[in-house]
Amino acid sequence: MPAVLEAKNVTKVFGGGFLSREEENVAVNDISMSLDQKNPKIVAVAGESGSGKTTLARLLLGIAAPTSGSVEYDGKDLTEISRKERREFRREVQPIFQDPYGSYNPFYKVDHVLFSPVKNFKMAQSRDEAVHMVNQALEMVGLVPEETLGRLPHQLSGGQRQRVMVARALLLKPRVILADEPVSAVDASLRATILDAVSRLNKELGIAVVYVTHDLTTAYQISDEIMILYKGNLVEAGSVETVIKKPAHPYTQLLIDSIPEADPNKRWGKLDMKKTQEKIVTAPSVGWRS
Amino acid sequence: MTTANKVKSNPSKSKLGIDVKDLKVHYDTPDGVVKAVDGVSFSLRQGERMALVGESGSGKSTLAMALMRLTRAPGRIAGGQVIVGGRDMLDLDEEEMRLQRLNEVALVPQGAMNSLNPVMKIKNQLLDGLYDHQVSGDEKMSKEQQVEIVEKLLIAVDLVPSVAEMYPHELSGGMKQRVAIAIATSMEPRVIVADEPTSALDVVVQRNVMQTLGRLQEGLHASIILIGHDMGLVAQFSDHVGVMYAGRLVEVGPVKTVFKSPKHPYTRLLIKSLPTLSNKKDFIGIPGLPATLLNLPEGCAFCLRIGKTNPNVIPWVNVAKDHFIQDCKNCSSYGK
Repeated sequence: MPAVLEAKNVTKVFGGGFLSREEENVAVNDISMSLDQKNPKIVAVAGESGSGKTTLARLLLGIAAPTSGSVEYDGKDLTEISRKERREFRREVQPIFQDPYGSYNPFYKVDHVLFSPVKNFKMAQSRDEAVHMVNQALEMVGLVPEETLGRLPHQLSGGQRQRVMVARALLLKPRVILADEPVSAVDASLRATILDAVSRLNKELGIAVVYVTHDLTTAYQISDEIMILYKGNLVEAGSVETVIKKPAHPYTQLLIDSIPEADPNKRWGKLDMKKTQEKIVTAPSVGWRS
Repeated sequence: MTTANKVKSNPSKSKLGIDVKDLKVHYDTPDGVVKAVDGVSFSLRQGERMALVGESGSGKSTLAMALMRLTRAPGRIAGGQVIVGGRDMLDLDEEEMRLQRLNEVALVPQGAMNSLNPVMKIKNQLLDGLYDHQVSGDEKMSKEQQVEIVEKLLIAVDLVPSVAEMYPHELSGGMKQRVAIAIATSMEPRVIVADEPTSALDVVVQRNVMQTLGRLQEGLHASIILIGHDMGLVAQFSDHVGVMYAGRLVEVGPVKTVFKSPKHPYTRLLIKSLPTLSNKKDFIGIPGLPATLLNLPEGCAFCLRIGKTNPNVIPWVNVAKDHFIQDCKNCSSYGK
């Protein structure tokens, strides 16, 4: 069985065209990854700004086309699938974006983002069934339907807005959820509830999740596997336990060393910044570690 | 509400950097008064670092602006004292206060990217404040003096002197934040207010910038008030921590004591809601929603969040050395 979603040696280059005076910018350099169908996992794609993590996410969503390599959905190249297949792809691979406010039309009640996809993709046979589905999805992400429906986006908190987005993705019974920094715009105290909802979708409904983030602590908490990106290159990947607990690449080591842990007795910044940065430039990719 | 009259038990040992007493900032809205900062008191000795933490809407940024007396309408400072260098800054007139800023109290703003002037070279932005506060007296600084001062300020924040001739858009986020720190420390202030100085930066850059800020603050022997929501950063950077909820301080104490044995239920939940790298599945969200500050009743605001009845008066209790909490009998054991 082919993977649900697979990136095969994708590279994305911006700028540097025939008449361009700008230099080429290789945002994603020869990266491969796949999401298994039989054993759906949560895969974290982690890196700092400029690492290419969002570009990789856009390639996986089919919003951007790779310069070389291919993204395959059920074994078919995304750039070659038919309209009908593309529509199916749009339902089965659901994005959740960073800013939970930007995804709403401020003039419409939140019901709109929940009911319109149900209608568009003909997920329900009747109005009653649609209401039932929406209520179920909201409860799944820890929201009370009566307190959520009928409100305008600004009447909900950031955490609630983002959970409605998770519920919306869930309604379409997707096989993959691709969440690009879903919690970086919400308060630290609310992150746990959102990530918990995402994690439950994976465990209980078998939805594969790509979790794009700059935050290694939350990545460690919810993911099974992690990929560390640095300037468009995959420098280290593997099981989250191995990569976080025993990082092998100097860049991963520096990242973990710089995380401010909420424990005054565990001091950050033990590594020598200059020496480590010199090592990063020359260090080869570590590759996959199980 | 009850407030802390003295947070530090022994202020005589070293000089007081800043003393805030019963500070109140109110917003007048058509629906009523929003008490964004509701009687906050704390004091800090010179050279000490204190962090104020809380969720969005807890009043921490409003408090930071009030310490600089930069509160904007419809907000107003409704009462209290902010004593720096023996003078209550809330008593000064506008012109006197203007001269105090940068000289006595300086701000490292949130997102330095937006606080620098995009059409002005970095060197002129560094000198702007100095000119305005007439550091060199009435005479104009000579060209050589200017170059020397700018170079000194840039080197102090680990930037190369050539940055002086650049414009903000030519710098990275971390470099811009360093320039903001250089400006804030250019007149050797007594108090530095840093409002989420690194919230837009990557972790490696954040660590670097915070270390620079800490080194400068130590060198100046200034007090620093770090405003933030990142408990991790607080644990790493600060000596003292104040936890804010609904515009009030609910717990104040040394960082090590507060993280080891938080006494207020809200602090406990804040710390528990943080993911760590050591154990999995050990972080939970805080139930309910942050309090709405509009017409908030007296008494314990946290009781309202967790559905308990709030007592009217809550005493401010000293639980350990330098460690104080709002001791509410209805919710103090919540989440233990």
